[in-house]
Amino acid sequence: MKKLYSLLLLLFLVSCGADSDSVSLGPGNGVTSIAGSTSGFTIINDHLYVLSTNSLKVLDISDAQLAPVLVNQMEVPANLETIFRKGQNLFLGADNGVYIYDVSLPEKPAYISRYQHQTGCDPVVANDKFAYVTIRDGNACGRNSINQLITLDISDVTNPVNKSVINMIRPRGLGFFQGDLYVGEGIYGLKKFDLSEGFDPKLDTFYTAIPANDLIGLTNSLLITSNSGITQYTKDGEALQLISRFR
Amino acid sequence: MRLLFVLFVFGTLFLINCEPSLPEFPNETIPGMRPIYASEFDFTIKQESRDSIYNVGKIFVYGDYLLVNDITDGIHVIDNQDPAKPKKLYFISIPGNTDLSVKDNLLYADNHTDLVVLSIDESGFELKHRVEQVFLEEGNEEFPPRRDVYFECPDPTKGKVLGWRSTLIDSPQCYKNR
Repeated sequence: MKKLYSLLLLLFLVSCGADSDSVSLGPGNGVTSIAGSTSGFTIINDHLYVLSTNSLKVLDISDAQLAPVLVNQMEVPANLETIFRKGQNLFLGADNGVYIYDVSLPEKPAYISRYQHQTGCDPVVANDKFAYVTIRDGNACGRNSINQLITLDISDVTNPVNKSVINMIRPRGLGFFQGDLYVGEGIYGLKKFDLSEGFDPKLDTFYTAIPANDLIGLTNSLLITSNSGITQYTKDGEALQLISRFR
Repeated sequence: MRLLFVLFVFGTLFLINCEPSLPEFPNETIPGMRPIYASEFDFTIKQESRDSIYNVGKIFVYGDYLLVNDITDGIHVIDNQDPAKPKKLYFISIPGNTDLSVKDNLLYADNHTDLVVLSIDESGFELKHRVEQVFLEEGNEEFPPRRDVYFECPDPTKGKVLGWRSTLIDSPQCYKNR
């Protein structure tokens, strides 16, 4: 009898344990997961990729019950800052260029190519054909005061080709929202570029009243970070409509 | 002492720099390296009440939720089901934190030189795993192991420098050329 009670008690405990998992964030599989363009972490299926100054590290996270396991580490001759993932490619934003890696073999990132520039670099985002990179001044050797938005043709990832250079004030994060490219100019504002011709972004609007460090374009709203907090906007025709602000 | 050190770095830079110019020292938060001290014991992750985000860092959208890094302090978890009325749920204090990612309700974050994994839900979080020294890099007491990098000048009063890590630093006063 005592044994039966123990068994019942055990069952009770087990079922309680299972119940406690029931409240979770998001709808489970297929949940939207989007990082801002300045992120240094990215997850692809069972692997987490992180940056340590001079290396790209791969961790196996396939078993949630176990601690992540460091399975590989690729040395990259640059100071790495950001990771952007597009399909099977990782675009690493570094202080001397953009490095493109193939992760078809998740644990063996393979170097494909590099677009070289000589200045401090901020992030990169990409669609199927083009990568957009911002460069902000204030880095090595003090000889550069270059602030640019660069467009790279990546239809052949083994050979990224510079298609357009646009002078900027001090650009930071960037992202896509409803077909357009938005670039944060920090305290100076937010710029919207028309991508009708992807190789040649055209400045459409400069929102000087919307400070922007980084941003994420969601289906219906644009999420922006700045020194003064987080703002969210919807698009109302050509205008951006503020829907919330907090810090 | 610090002044001497900065002068030394400047002097060295001046002598060996590719051009006879000094880098700018931006008065803002930028990527760089900071020393990790032997005495640095605070790796404690805990829930903390914090009404506002002090230094808005990286962001991550996970379904209807928004996670915001408070630079080097931790992560705010926000219910963003209605973007017109975002609701702060809680703040996770994670010393040294600047980066994050989420999958299957597991939050991956840097905690100084460690990588930590936390399960998160609407009401709170639980530390599941810790991988030590993922972000620790060798180097010596005075300089980080990299070239062309801004760094937080080591403070001798904080004790022995174990190594370095790549992170966001505010208004750096030191720079290493090569």
